[in-house]
Amino acid sequence: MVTSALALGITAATLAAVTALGLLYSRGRVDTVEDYVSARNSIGTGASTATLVASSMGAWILLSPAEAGAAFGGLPAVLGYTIGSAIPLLLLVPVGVRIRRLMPEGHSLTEYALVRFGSRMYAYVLVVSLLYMFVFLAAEMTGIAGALAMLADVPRWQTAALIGGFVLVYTAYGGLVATIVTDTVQTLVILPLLAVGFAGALFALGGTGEVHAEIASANAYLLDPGYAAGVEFGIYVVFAVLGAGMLNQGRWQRVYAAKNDATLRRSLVAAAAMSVPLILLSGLFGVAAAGLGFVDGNASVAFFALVNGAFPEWVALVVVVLAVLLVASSADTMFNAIASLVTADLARLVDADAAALSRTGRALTVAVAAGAIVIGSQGYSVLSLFLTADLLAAATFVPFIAGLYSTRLTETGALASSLAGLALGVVFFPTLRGALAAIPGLGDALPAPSFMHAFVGATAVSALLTLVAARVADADFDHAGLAREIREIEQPMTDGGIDADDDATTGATAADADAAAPEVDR
Amino acid sequence: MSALGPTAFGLLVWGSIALVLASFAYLTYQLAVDAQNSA
Repeated sequence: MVTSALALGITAATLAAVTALGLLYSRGRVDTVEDYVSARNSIGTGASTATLVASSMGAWILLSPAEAGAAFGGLPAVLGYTIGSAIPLLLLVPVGVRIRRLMPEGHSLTEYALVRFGSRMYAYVLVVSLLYMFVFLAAEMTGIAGALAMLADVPRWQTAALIGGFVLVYTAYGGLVATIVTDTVQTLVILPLLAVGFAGALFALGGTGEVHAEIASANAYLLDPGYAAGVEFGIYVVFAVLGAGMLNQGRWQRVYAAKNDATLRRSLVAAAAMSVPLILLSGLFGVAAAGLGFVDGNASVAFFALVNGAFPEWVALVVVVLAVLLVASSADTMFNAIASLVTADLARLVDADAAALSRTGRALTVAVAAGAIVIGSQGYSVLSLFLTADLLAAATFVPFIAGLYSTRLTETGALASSLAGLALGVVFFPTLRGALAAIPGLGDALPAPSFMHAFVGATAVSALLTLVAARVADADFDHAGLAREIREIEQPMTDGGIDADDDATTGATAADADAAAPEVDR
Repeated sequence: MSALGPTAFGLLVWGSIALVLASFAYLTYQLAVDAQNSA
């Protein structure tokens, strides 16, 4: 077993190197709020692909697919997770280009929600998006804290505080610039480490033939692509991951960071292709862990249980470095994404100067980090945390994205579609329906709990009602208004047809936005 | 449906490892091209 001191030392050294890189590179490059939350049209295909991979592939790839493989249905569950993770990136190819063209000076998904739909949809999307990203962060912290507790007996709070603290330093200082450069280097280290780590693990286990024989003799159903429970998980996880992927502010930031539309397309396709073998491998090792009998209770750390039980110390240390880099690469994305959401919105909603916005952005980053560290040290189930936030996103993303294309969809239509989908999802969702079941008379009327019905139902109902809402409404939203309303933060916002120079405030108020958009249907 | 055989399982695992290495090679190449273009 790796000692606690060695694991903490390796973790601290890895994080110190990443932090130094982020600080040095961003020094002198973050002068404005715009620099802090946006790296507009600045990075080529390589960096764009790398940052998409790094920000998407957190330590969860060592946790959730493995947990899915070990506890939720073996091979088909893993295949579903793999497909589900690639689809949002591919869907973002047309959607991302549309976002760039409609809002060339945009920053966040919530400013789009505000201008396209209105304040009620804005508040709803803000809550869903923040909750999802916070859960993502908390799940990352939970996963790595649990992994190091298993591998080296490191107290959970120490791991969470160490990682949160280091990532906070370079993210709060360097914003998106620091995040992207560290993502690029992290991906270049993570990919070969994953390959070497998995290959080393295979040799330690006696090769694929030996592993296959062990799984087949212990739990053959884990290798059956038609295993019903796994197929069911594989289907609903596609919907769960899809919604969450579309409401991830970190992705929206990267849509704008790509140098041009062609760069965005290439990097999204490449990132989707790269995610396939990464998640597949991790999931297969979860299957192996379950088949070899290393999963005892907490399937979240199935992969680490395998590492702890069967591999030499050097493989365990490689895995520690790998996991720490994976957490850092996604945690920095979430820290900055959450800060950027609120910073971009504040610029629009209140009359604050650039210095106040910068201070607010950094203070929010600290608050988010502190919350994630506290939650992360509690030891919840990683996949359960994700699934809860995913349900909200599954019910929201269709009407939200439809607003980019439909001129007829209204705020009421979008919100009602989403809430109806969510209500159906909650009725079926195993861990959320408890409150409903406690209502006298309602408990017996509730259908049997089912993740499958919850996710597919939430998405299908919200999509269907969105179609209906867009058909029956007689609204005529002018998409060109998005570009007029959503501007770079330093620039004064235009107030309808008023010249920018005549309205030299840093941010327009919500009332200004409403008055400036008579064509926006409410 | 029948369970995955040892050959298919091996191909799946080693093929994934090979694809991860290919991803690394692609990324390195693409970063080099980006650097050349911006120089």
